[in-house]
Amino acid sequence: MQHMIAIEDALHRVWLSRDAQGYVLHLGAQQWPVALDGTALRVAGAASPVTIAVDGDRVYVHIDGAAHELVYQSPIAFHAAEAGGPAEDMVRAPMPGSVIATPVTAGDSVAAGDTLIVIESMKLETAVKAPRDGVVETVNFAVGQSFERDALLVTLASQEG
Amino acid sequence: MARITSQIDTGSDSFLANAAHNRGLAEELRRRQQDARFKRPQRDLDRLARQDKMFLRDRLEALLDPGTPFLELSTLAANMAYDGDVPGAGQMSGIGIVSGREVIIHADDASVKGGAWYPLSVKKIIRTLDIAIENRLPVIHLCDSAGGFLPLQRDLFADRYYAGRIFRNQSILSKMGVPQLSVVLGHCTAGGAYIPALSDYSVIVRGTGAIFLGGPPLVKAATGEEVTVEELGGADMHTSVSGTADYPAASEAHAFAIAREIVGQWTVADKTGIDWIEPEEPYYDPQELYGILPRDSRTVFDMRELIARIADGSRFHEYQPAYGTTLICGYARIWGYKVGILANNGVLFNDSSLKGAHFIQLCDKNRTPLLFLQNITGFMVGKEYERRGISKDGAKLIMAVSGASVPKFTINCNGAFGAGVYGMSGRAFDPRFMFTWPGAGTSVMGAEQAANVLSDIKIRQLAREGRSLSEEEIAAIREPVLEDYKREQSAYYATSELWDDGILDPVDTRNALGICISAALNAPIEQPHYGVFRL
Amino acid sequence: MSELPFRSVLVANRGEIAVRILRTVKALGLQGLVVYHAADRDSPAVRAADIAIEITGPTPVAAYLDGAQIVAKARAAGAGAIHPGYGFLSENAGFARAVAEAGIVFVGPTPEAIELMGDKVRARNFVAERGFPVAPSAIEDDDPASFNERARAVGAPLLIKPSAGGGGKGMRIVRDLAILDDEIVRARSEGQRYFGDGRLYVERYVERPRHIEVQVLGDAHGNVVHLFERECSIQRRFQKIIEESPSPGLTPDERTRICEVAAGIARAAGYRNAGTVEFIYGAGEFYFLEMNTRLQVEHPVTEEVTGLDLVAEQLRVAGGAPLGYGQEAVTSSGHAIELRLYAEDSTRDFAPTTGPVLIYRTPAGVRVDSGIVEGGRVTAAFDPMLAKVIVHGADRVEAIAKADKALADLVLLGCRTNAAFLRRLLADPDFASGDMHTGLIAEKPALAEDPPLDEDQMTRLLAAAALSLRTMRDAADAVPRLHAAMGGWRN
Repeated sequence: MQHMIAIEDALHRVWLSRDAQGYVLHLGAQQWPVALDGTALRVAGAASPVTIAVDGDRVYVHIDGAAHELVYQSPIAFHAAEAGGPAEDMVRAPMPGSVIATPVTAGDSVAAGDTLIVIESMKLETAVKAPRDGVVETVNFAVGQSFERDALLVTLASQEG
Repeated sequence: MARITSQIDTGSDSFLANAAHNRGLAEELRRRQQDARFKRPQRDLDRLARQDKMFLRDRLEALLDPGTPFLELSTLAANMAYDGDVPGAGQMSGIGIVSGREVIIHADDASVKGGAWYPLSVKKIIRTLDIAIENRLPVIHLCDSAGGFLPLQRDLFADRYYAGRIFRNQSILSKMGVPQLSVVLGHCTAGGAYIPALSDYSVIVRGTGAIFLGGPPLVKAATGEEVTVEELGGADMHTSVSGTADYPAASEAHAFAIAREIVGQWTVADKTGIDWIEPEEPYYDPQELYGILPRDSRTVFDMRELIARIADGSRFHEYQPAYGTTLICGYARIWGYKVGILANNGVLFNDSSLKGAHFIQLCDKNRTPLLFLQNITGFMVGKEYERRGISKDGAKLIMAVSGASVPKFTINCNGAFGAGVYGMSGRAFDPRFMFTWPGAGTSVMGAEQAANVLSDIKIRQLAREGRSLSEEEIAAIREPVLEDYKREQSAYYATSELWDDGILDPVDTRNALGICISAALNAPIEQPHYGVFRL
Repeated sequence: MSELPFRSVLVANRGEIAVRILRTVKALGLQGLVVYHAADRDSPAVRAADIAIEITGPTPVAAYLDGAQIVAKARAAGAGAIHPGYGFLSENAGFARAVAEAGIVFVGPTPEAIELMGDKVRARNFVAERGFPVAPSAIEDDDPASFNERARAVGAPLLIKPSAGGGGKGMRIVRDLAILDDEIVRARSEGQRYFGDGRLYVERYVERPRHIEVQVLGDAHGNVVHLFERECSIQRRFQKIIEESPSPGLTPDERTRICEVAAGIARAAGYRNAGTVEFIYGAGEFYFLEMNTRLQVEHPVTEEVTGLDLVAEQLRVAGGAPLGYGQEAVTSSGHAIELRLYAEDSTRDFAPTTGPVLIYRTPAGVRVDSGIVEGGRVTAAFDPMLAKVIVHGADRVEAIAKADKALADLVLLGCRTNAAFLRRLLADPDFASGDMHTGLIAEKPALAEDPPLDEDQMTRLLAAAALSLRTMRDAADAVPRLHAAMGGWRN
């Protein structure tokens, strides 16, 4: 079993264990002794200064003069989603912005690729598409309303049961 | 504690020859274990893939905490039964770490005869649950079985230690407050349905997992009702309608993620406290065990040399070093745990038996688990020893071994024969765990001796009929007896029949013992009390 | 500065510029006021002000654009002067007038100057009529009969645009005047096709243009000085990203000329307070583009090389004081660079980013004008500029090195920024050699991409995350010591 951590869009299977000396990071078949002492990160003995902030499942790391965002996903959520579970029912905002058109309403049948909502962000228009065939359950924003990244824009009716 | 000073010359010819021989035995063990775990007919692997099922070993890795040890038990069960067609008896058993908790895992291997239960499968499951009961180890069942193997049902169904015992043991575990979790990854039919039903928690995989007393064909035959697997006993039915199972899972990987979180909710009970200090690696390299064990098990060697390669820091405090010297007794540490070791350095005499009985009582009073290192051909025989009461003194040792309240662990290092097995905590004496090294046999007497006894009977019978036999004729009678006997006293035969909990590569002994001692301490240790010692 | 006719200054702005203005206001011993919308309640500007006055509006931006409300609040609070900062009401002549009518000093130019320069056509004509360089051009409508001839006089290269056009449609670049007539015919037919209007307009086309601007400062007594130039060629969609002074692209003669032209334009316009004259520069020529009648975002670059506090100078001349020094007293030393830190994701077409400011640490020894504060939040409500990092070095090479180090040392966790993109720009060989133009970023899309992380970086990032996540640490810590010490042993 592994934890899932996304860097940008790439998902990594990661585990942290302990041995007699300290923590061990598992990445695939590789293992590294690791330690974090305040702002000193040690991986296999080599130290790097880091600044780290954790906000829920998001970990922000400043290292080598650059900041990175990592997102933790629990194995349960990951494997549920991987098996085609509820994640596909939720259509989220790819970036913050405001709504400029809502071509569908609750109850409409849509096919994968149909436009569910049109948003504007930094003068860019983006059509948010249906991830699968289905029926619209809710449209959560009206024209003119603004939202932040990852806001739940549209929900498709669950296909379970 | 003083360090043992090894007398071994690791450059000597005999050391090197022993090492080559014993490494060969270890490699053969590895190979046979590897085959038992992974070698399957392609059609069985194809079937699993078609059913979207994970291979058992992948299931295991998905369940365990990465970077933690797993002690597999009875890997080679049934290796000499059923024409070798049922590796591992179609079951996997072992102690590992799930969500930080020590658990024992019992898993059906669907790649072996569809996970069908053979008589030795049932024996292995019951042994797994006995271990759980004796050591209060939580159990995780990975259920994926076609059910009992019907052609051999008479050897697995009705008797006291047959299939019913599995469910009895599950119930007893529950009564003791030891949690159980079932992950239903395939069908649990008939009796198999009780495994999840008797578990405290169960997770069932949608699409592949099913629980029912009778499957669709049986239902059709019995009542004419036509029903699908999902309707009859699928994940959604059981988790939303019948309440037989608790958590539906979208995939096997999802099921293991849920299972791990469930185990993470189990309260970790305080262990029985025994003397423990920070562990220390043995001073002498355990790899040298290969060079110490003789090529011919009848060759005498000093068992202290083995202790030096198993015990922490190779340290050993010997008790009564000058008395009853054919039984070495003393204290050592394994992974920091204090243990009392009894190791054979020759046959058991009156004094060695008395020394052993006394030392066991010391350990029992002292809350010190016992480790028996078997290398025993038996108790001494002969007029003088009988007059000295060798049977009476042997009985004292057996009384002490049987009555000891502290956990016992037994390793057959180089052979265990005759009544010596009783005095050295053989399987019948409920050691918490019992392992065999690859070259170590066990039987009521040595093979040569037994072959001689058996062929003598035949020769004498023929002599009474007035026939005298040539050397060749005697050999023709004796050789097949010897061959059969050798086969049936081998470590592989013992482990095939579950007379032990598995064959260990000698170098794995220290880790295996560490895991076993730790597991054993989940159960409380009773106050010492014994039967009547014949004085 | 006891000669100032006001004792308090209200900042009609937000973000980093409000903080920056308040810093000088307070340094001068004046009372600092700021207006704020509720979305900025916990902003550093509100914290920095002596008095913060809430303003309201249908959106946060609308509140800051509501001149009437701000003047009313300023009056009620007894503010002596209003500094508009940049953006919002800073170039709104009506606001400047309303402030003055309310008896409050407007820290900026006269409403007339704002109006003149705010009308791009009027401004261009004003400048051209006084003999300052504007890009040669020809408008067909002025005299259709002579259009081709006048177009030829513009000189190559030139750009033909449909008068009714926009968005680049129907535009044609002519580098060889021999084909000019043919190209005019084609452009006309395209204009007709796209816009139903074939009328054309021609102007000199500047290849690989640079954006160079000059800071000017005038008082109410007719004195005008320039404070040297700034090069702002590193832009993306007309948004400046890196500014510096001096410009690495000008010869000393060109530099003197462009600065004197700027001062001349300001003087001709009777300009007072701080302003910026923008030029387009290419192939040794420069042309007037427009004049900004406010304090610029990039003013710190000028402050670093001249040693002047531009806000203090603004307040002084707004209070009626004469400049008190001539052009010869203004010197430029060393090299300054400003980098704009934006909340945006260069890898997603520079989409704006939002998030909590979990940790914000600015590099030591470097000027950072920040509009954010640790514990705050970056939202989509305002412009995505978070802060400006300003460095000053003995020369450009030193300044670039300092800038890179400052960006590397600046820690902002919780909201993605363009810091890595800025560092890639600094490392770009064309930027390093000073060979830049306004199309540099568009020409090098690879700069927007984060290079893939190597295995070592990935490992360290995952290690940092794993060791920081309670869930992961707890899972490791839950394993009994004995088993942990054995690791992944198997029998």
